[in-house]
Amino acid sequence: MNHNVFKMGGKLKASIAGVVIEGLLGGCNFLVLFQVLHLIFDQSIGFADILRATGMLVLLFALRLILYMTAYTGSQTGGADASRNIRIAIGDKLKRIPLGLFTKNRTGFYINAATSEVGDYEQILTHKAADITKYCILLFMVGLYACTLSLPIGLIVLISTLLIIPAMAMSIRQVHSYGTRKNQAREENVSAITEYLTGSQTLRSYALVGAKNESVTEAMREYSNVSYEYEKAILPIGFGFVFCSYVALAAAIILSVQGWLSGTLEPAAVILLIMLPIFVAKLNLTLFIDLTAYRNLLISKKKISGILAEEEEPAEDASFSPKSTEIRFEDVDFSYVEGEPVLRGASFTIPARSLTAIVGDSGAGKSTILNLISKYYAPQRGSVTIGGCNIANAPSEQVLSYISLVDQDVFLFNDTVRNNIRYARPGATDADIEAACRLSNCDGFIQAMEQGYDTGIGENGNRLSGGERQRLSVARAILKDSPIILLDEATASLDIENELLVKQAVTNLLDADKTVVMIAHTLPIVKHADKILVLDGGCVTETGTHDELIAAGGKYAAMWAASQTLR
Amino acid sequence: MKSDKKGFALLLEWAGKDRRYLYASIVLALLSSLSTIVPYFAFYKIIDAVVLGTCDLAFALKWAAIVLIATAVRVCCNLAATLASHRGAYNTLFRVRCMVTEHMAKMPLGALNERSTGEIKYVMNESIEKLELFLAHNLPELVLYLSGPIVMFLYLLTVNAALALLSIVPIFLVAAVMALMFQRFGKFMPEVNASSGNLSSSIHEYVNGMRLIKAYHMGAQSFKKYSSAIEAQHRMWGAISKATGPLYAAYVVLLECGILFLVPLGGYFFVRGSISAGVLLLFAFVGTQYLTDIRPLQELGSNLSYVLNGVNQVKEILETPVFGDGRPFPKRHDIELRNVSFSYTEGEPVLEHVDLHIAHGERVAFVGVSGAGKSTLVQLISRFYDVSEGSIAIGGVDVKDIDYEQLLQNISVVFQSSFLTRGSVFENIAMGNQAVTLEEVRTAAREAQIDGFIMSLPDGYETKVGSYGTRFSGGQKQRICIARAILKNAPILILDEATSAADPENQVEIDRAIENLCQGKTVIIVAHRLGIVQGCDRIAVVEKRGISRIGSFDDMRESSPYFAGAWRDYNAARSIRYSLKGGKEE
Repeated sequence: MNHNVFKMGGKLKASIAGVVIEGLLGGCNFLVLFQVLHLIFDQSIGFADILRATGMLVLLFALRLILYMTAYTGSQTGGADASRNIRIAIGDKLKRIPLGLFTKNRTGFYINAATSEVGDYEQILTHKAADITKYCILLFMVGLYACTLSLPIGLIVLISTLLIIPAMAMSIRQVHSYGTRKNQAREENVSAITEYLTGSQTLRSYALVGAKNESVTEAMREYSNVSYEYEKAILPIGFGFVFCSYVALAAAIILSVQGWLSGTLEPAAVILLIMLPIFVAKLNLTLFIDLTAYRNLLISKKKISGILAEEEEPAEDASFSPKSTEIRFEDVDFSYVEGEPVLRGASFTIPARSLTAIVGDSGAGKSTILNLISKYYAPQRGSVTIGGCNIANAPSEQVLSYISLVDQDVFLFNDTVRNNIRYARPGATDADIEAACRLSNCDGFIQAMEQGYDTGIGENGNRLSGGERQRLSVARAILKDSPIILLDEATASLDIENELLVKQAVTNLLDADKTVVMIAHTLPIVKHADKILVLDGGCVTETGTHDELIAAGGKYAAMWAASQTLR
Repeated sequence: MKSDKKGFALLLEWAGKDRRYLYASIVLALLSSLSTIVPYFAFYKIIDAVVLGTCDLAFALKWAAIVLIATAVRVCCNLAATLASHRGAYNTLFRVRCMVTEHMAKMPLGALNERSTGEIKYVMNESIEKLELFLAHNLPELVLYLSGPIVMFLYLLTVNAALALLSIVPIFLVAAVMALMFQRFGKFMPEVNASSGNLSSSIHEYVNGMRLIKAYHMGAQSFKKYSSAIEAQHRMWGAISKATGPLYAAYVVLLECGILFLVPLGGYFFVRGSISAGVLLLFAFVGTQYLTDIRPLQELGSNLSYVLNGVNQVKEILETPVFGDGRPFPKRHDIELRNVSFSYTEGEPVLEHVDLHIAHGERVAFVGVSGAGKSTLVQLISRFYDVSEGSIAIGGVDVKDIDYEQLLQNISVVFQSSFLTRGSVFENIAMGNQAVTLEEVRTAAREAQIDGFIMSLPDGYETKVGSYGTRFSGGQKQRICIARAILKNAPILILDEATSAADPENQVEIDRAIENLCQGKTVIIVAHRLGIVQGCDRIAVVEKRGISRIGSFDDMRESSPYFAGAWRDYNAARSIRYSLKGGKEE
């Protein structure tokens, strides 16, 4: 349904036609002037002729004014319509594409596409498309008209315009080769500056600041130089093209005077044949500038259509009805960045209605497993199944309806605290919500807010501490009451008073009906888990209960021994 | 960097010696616009000659050659002007960026907290880039767009004053139209701001919240919210277009209305015989066209406010007050807080009348609920901010009197988030110290329990963090940072959330590395993990805007209700064991 969203609406087409006609009417001024010229050279001109010509000009002008006012306004509103349609198409598309595409960089790209890229594309519709069409047609008509007066001069004028094709081609080639370099330098500049800023305190304690920090200064200097090189490579093309237009004028001067001297051209035609190339030279430059801008704006269109062409999630799958909540990974390969595998042929089973803990060194891929179960990412190879159904075949909504994910990364909508929790189960009553909040130790800090449960939160939710966010996440999970719970226990980074509160909240969430998968950052807390998976080198190397794993004397036993020496 | 100058004058001051490029660009642009009138002049000369019948081929060749030469001059000057303005602009951008990095080097660390880091990043990348628009484009364009029509007008004045004056009538008409347009647009401004803010936050929420939207099956509902923000904005722009679109269109067309006056009046003069046919045609053609060159000026106006905005954002950073020079760092390293009060915002004190003495070589832990002011206390000691009242002294010297650079260099801070540059591991430990040898770096790394790991990498200490960084675990990064601090050997050490979120084996090594780092130093620990406080000489409880109690571990368990409770909670939390019948304690 999205592929033709770029198609111009009738209003826009009519507006472009209006703008083109207005341009041609403007060109008609020359016809009127030509008539006046004739009379002048026939020496028969009187004031009445002048007034008649003026009348014609006024008429043309009035028509142009009305036409352009209508067409321009039409193109503005038509452009706004198109922007709206594209933004809605993007929004519609975004809810169909896999969640794995919503990475941190990517979301920025999507937001930018829906805001400024659409705005840039609108520029094409509202300004460039109409202007470029107008100039092209006008230049062609003027060239043809010149041909009727003198074929060689007319051809020269037409050629001076056609030179825009090689000029644009050259310019595109230069933009391509220098643009890549410039982008690299810009990225280098941005990352050097980011490093300088984020490490400011450290860098200062080593006096690696200002000019003494060569890495950032060098990156900034390089960006400055490459930016200049870029302009130096591109600017001469446009100026060369302009010069050629005036060569055509010089040729027209010589040829038309020659024609007049040899009697093949009348004086009025001579004057017009000098006037037209001046007019054309000016228009050629404008057209060149507009085409360059148009080309730059097309990048926006490309980005937008890239999003609209993105692969979509499978549609609602009736056969996705897991018999149980057993989760299986079979031969799963996964990497966030190509060439840096996180999981390599991982196979394991998470039994239903039990507590399974995942342990391993930091960076071993523990969180990745939760991300794959919740379809935040898709494995590159192998399969993840819930109750025997492959989750790859169902849309995220369907899979996630079985799952609650509890972690520190709580997204808050721009709404009240109460509604933010209610999203987890739209039918929940206020009493349900407050009960869930009490069980998750949220009630206290929520009551302490200015308007309690009705306090607006969202973008300003960053006033909440990490512990409070985790507890809100637990509250939502309690309310949602889904059969599978994925828990990222990040309490190690919490302060003293929050650690106990979060752990108590989690305790209230766990019950015998649930299938719980938890990432443990400290070992003792999962000592009683029904099953412990030890992740090492991208796959599960040991499984069993605490006692079994200690007896096996492997990686887990070593980790346990280390954890016992910690204070 | 203080300057009384504002706006574009300030921008030119920043350009420094690169102003010569900008001035050259202006002069060249002026030359270029002077030569734009030559083709029109040639046109006029030839018409006159044709009308008088005196035109021959030599005359035509002469004027064709003049047109070509003038165009060559025009194109070359214009190209040179543009290149010069770009050279000047990019050099200036580089210089302004350097000014900001230099200034940042002297700013109080408190002024560089996370929020302003984001702002400075924006200024460095976006605001400074805006300046290019003015320096490289608007400056020469302003000259071109204005001087071209002015030169042409002056020339027309010499040809026929009455007609020349008539030729600028459109200016007054379009000025009136523009004024009306801006007035109408101005009425929409509050709505524009509100609506675009709403649109942007709706789009952000929709995209960033997509995971949750899917988890809670809110697709249809959220999409409705998203599209209604878009519809609202669309309705508003529709209304604005209807109100201002016709006026802008009228502005464009009316600029060419001179022909309506020039043809009848010029024709009248011509019929009466007071002007030649050449003059009539010059005005009928040129006199109606030359004003269109000022059309881009309208766009320039909005560009200028965009650029000024950038200038002001940069100015704001460059005018942030800085801490300056002072006495060398003292030899003794005891820390004395006397009657210290501090508030971030007037009337909301964070600390009140705090007294504390930390002896040379002592190890002190700060504990307390989050937000009680633990971090603020250590930030005051390392002079992120200046105290509002009282004083802080190191070795008997007020920190305000110590050279700021030296102060920062003599206090090592180890954070939870480890900062590594993109350079090699060696560079990350040596940190700009040219004198240090590989053996010294390795010794530090050994003490930080990381030498073995680094040597196992294919490139050892030459491994680039930038390319390998994603594969370092959090614990490994932390130990590289500790190695760096060990090598630096600053006498005062602050540990802020230095230990957490690592796996147990890593944690054991980090603890060992930190123990090595602490040897022989005055150490302040902001304790989040209570286990660490047992190894400290004294523990200070930060609550109620001050230090409520300070003493040894055993002492505090007896005498501080807060500490006793926290210790109990800490151990309770540590003894929770999850299982599916709910958690239980062991």
